[in-house]
Amino acid sequence: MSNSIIREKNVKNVNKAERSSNIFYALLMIFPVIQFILFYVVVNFKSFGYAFMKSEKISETEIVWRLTFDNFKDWFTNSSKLRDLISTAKMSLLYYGVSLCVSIPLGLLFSYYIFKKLPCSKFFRVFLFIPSIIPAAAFILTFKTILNDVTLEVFNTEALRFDANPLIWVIFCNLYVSFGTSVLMYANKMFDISPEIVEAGKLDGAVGIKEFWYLILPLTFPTLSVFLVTGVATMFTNQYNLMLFNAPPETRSLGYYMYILAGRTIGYEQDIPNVAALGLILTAVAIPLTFIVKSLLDKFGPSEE
Amino acid sequence: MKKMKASISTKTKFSPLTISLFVVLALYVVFLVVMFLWAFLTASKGYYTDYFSFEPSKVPHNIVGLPKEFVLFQNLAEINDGFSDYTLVNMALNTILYAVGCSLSKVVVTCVVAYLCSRYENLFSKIVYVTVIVTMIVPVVGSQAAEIQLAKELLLFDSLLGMWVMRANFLGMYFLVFFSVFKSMPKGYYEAAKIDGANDFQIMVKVALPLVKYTFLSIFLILFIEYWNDYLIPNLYLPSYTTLSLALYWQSQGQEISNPDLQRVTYVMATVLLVTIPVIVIFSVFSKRLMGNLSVGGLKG
Repeated sequence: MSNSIIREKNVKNVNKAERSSNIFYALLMIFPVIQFILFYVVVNFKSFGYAFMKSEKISETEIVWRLTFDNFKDWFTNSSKLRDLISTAKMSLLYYGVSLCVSIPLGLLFSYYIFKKLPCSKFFRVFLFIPSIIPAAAFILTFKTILNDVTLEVFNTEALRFDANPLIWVIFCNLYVSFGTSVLMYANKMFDISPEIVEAGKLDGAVGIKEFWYLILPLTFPTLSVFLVTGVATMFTNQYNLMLFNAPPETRSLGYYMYILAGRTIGYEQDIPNVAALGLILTAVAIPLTFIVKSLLDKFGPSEE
Repeated sequence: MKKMKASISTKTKFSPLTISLFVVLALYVVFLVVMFLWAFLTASKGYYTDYFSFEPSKVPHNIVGLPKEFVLFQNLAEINDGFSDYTLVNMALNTILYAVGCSLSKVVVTCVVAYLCSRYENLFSKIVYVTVIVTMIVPVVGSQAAEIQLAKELLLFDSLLGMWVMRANFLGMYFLVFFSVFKSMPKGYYEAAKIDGANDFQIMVKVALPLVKYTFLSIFLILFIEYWNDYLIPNLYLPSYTTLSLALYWQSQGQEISNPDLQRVTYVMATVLLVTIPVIVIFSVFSKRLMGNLSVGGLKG
């Protein structure tokens, strides 16, 4: 009798503890979940909905919204918008290409230098990281002032001025600040490589560039593939600090173009559908592209084995 | 085994490849040092003593030389009063509130949600985990206009509190970092605390959170620097709260300033120093924490 009472009490205690755990869990989850629903789910649904709507002014004070595909059509039939879209898409592709062909290989080589613990490697590691933490506004405005004022004074030429080659300088500057996090991550991944493997590679003749190409690169590939896959999205979102450069319109990327358009909607609600439609078009390209890149890397990327 | 590992070095002799890399890296460093040395010297110059003369025949034009007199603090004092709507102190305060508030709200929410998902293994926790992964992989582009609209509807637009709320989400790689750190903790810690009579809240605050304090600090610092440097979001979402990075941009464009001289190179470089120095100080103090913990998935514990 007394045993069953004790058992019953224990069960009650366990139930009570579980209930209080559930309450605790629910209470702490409420805010993050509401925040997520509002600022991810609702925002994206709103954006999706706006893409298929158009406002019509029926009187001075009244606006009605109607369903339409015009916002999408507009991006392909309006010649000025289409021109902007093509130009910004081309630029984004160019910036992505530079990142793929110059920034990533250079980042890997710098990481290799750090991994080999060659002279000043610790010092270089710090200096490669610094541009990524310095405010972009400070870095770019200093860089631009040097180009415009100092080069003229020191080299006595107008050819190095920012306005003479804006695209080259935008690419150079973004390349210069791009190494920080990636070099750290590649280098840390390289440091995880067992020294025995490196030693065995040496015995097999993998030295210098061969060691880098046949041994280090395949073993660093998992980290590299993360950058390559997430890099696809940056093609659609990266603004390359173009606002700070005050660069001419022909250097605009898709990300910066979207930023400008989003800024214009403040106070002009009727412009949102057009921007939302462009966002949806770009998302429709970005999602499959990301998965294609991922599957290609999985299929053809070097194996760690 | 450890001794053997240590004895096998990854060091190598110089090769044409590594010599070329050394040269490129050395140039990289020289460029950065020269650039900021020039910025410092220029910020310390007086515009009217080093660059401009009312007598055209005596134009000093001292662009690359040392300052004739060191007037950095006078330049900063002029900048302080030279903006249309705010003083430099106001803008510094806006920047601190924006950077600290956004990074703290983000890191606290991420840490707590990761703790809950790792400790309470129920269906909802699994859904949250999968949601984080999916939102990281699937790129959604161009919803900013709708977000601004929603922020306006919720009265969060142009409000620092609104920005803190908008940033207080658990999405992104830092969730995975906290999650893996919490997952790697022995469950015995929690059980022992439970036997000692601690409730769920006490276990979280007194057992779990102190064990992730270094991860918390690392992520907080990274986010703080990110928000300190941010000029794009304040430009769109906080028109009444100009931050220092954004002010620097306005100043260089000759906008939002009451003193037209502020657009001059000496004053712009003085603001450059002002914006950069706090970040450099943080980096100098916490460099090992900021750089040492980065790995493939983000940060190690």
